[in-house]
Amino acid sequence: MRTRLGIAALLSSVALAGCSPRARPGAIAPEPEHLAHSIAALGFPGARRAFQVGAGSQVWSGEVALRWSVTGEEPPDVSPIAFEDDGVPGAHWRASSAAETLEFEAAASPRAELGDSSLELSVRVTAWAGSGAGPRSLALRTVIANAAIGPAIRAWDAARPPPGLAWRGRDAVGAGARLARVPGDCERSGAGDSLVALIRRTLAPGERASWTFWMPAYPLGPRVHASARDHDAVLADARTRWRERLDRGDRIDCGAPRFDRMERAARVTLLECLEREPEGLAVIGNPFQYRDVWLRDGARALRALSLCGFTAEADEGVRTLLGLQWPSGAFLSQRGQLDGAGQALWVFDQVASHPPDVALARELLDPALRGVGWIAEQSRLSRGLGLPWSGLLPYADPHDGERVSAPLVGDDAWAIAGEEATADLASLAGRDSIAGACRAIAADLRASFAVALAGTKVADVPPSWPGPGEDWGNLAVVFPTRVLAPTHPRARALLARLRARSPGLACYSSPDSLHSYLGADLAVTAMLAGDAGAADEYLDSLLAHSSSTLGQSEIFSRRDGDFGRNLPPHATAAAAVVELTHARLAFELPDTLLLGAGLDAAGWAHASLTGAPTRFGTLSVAFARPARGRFVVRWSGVDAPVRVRVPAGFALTSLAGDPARDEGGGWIALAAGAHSVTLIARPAAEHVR
Amino acid sequence: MKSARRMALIVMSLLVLGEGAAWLTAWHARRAAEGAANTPIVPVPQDSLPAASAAYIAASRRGDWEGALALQRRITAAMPGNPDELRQLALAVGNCCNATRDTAGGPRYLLRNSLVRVRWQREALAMLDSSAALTDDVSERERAGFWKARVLTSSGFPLDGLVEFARMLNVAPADSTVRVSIVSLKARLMSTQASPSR
Repeated sequence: MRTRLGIAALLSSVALAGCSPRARPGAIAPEPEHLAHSIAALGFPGARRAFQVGAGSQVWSGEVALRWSVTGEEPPDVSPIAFEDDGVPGAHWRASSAAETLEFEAAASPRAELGDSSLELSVRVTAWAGSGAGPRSLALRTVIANAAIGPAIRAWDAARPPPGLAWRGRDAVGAGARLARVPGDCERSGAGDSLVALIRRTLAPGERASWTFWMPAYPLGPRVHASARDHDAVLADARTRWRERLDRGDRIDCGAPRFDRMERAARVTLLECLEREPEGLAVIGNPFQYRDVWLRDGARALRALSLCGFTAEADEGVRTLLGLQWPSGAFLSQRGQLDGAGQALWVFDQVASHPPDVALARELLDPALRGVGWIAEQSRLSRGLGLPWSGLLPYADPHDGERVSAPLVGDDAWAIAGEEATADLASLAGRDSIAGACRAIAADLRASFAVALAGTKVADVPPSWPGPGEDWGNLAVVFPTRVLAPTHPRARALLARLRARSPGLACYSSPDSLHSYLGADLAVTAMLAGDAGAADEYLDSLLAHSSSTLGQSEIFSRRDGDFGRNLPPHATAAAAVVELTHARLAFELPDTLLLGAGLDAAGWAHASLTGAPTRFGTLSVAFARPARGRFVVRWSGVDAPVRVRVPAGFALTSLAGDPARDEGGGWIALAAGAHSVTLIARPAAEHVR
Repeated sequence: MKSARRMALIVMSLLVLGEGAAWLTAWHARRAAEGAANTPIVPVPQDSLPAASAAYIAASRRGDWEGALALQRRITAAMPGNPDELRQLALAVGNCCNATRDTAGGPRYLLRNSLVRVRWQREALAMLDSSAALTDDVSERERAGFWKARVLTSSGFPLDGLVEFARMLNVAPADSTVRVSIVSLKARLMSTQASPSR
């Protein structure tokens, strides 16, 4: 029976493959390149490698590079890479000279014959001559090499040293494995580190000629019998798979079209940063140089996937994190990164509650309680030994952005968040007494934190309890850890200090180094403290430093956009985009839903969120501005008290719809059960007059 | 009607064959990717154990952590139940967890990712527990506990390491290495100063 069903499914998939509406061509969506090199990732959830497109006319599997040029010409002008307008990572770029133009189209897709962790890449190169007089001779030179040019990372599992390259018919091979396939009408030469495939063709003015190149993400051994697929089939398959995947998420209209495509690109990055491991899908930091699991990044990425409605991926990803639990109960992914102990517990609750999933909460509760037990034991030992910051976690050397070995403020903030999240997880699992015990443990740690904070020598929140270090985990004290209130004087001082150094994106260590996600938590903090424009300011700053495919490097030069070997796109930056775009429209406090907290008056005209998982239910909300001074918001799917933000620059004059009250400070409060409210407001200056 | 049915049968057969072929090629691809991980461990012959131990030490000294681990696996397989060899195996596993190799892109861990490294560290800690459980010899048990404390401390759990060192002091109160380790670790824990990241 199962076989018959399988064949039926296969037949239907074969029948549908050619005519799926999801395979329709996408429009190319060019965006400016703000970084020093135009680089994009072509990957897919599950794959253990992604193809790097760029810099220049080059693709790189982490092991084999293909690059194209036209012989006898000045170096062409290469355009930034563009993805398609609905976010599908089909890469398009052009290399133009006075005489010819080369147009490139590249797509990557999984394929059963290659296993569940590889991909195949197809690149179509189309050439045409300029409109000058007479036919032109074109010599398209393709180099197949075992090293890439420009910023590129050799894959962790690439052969070392790289094998010598040779031709076997149309296939480039190394150590007996097939690496790439070139068109048949090539003159093939070279051996060793690089091969050359030369195509000679005479083009009449306006005539177009195309060739297809093919490459698997992993070399194909002699027993893998997969031949190159037709380019259109690979591209259609990639479009179909990506659209199907992206359609699973919620729908967001940011009310600011410039953010919509960035948000869509962030979803693609987050999905590409899911790698197949024996434990399940694992969240990695980046498709190229950060193919590893960090709890500090993975927790953010999984929350973002949950917010977007990629529930199955988030569930699988969070279960994979269970593999990072030590026999003591602690969660730790990288040496010395004790913040992971709290982050793991925090993300268990985030995923289990977006949307609320009692079965998942029950499944995760036992490991979470072991994690709480470890933190509580650290507190007990810390007090018993009389450590200087009594009751808090010990010193740590995370070998990361903190650049210090010391007891870290962020470790304790995350530990509190983890304990409180476990209490929420226990409540969701129906274990109220355990929830109460976790809250008591968290309250104890909060008290120790407060004592330590009062003893610091600065007015804000330092990176480490002794003081030194780079700002890192301490920036999470308000959001997402909720250890301090957004209006806490130290939180305000922290915000002011960071903003004085760099408005918009935070700078890291030196004023020229901008960081794509370091300041994102502070943008949420500012928004919650009443600065409605903070999220927009951060997103605009991020947009002004994004790649042409709307990915972000982790750290880069403010001066020239150089990112060294820290290639875009970064998963945590993508998570920050999702976090902020959602927070502008809908943001969850523990017991209240905030609507429109970061939405300006223009955004009210059409912003909406449909099918968004929250801990209060699956939210759909639509904002409207039917007249200049009328702001309407309708929502459904949630059962929680709601607060609605009056758009910045407007002053409320009256309310209509469900019973609501003006709380002052630009907030309107509605009880649980309400579903709409109309704000009648005037521009604030006019109101004052 | 009959020929249509025959055609359907042929199409179905082709699809089934295709599905089988795809499964087989995927299986081969997976096997190739799994590589040496599933290679069976051949115990070192008894008369070669001294030479194998010397080779293990030499490999560890030159930082060939993968080579040292492969040798120690074979040595341990040749001496099942030997607490000393099990402890050495735990250390060889732990060394591989922390080892990096230099690449053009900077140092990279030998093991694929933190999921693998944590799994291996858990195995190393379990082997150290087993090593202690396999013997009544106090010094053997102490050595296992000492290394367990070292693994925990170097992984970023100084308080857990301190607890383990303190337990060893109960087993061997006169051991100066354990005492020095405790004094040094306590000094670091009690420090009110930050240090540069190493």
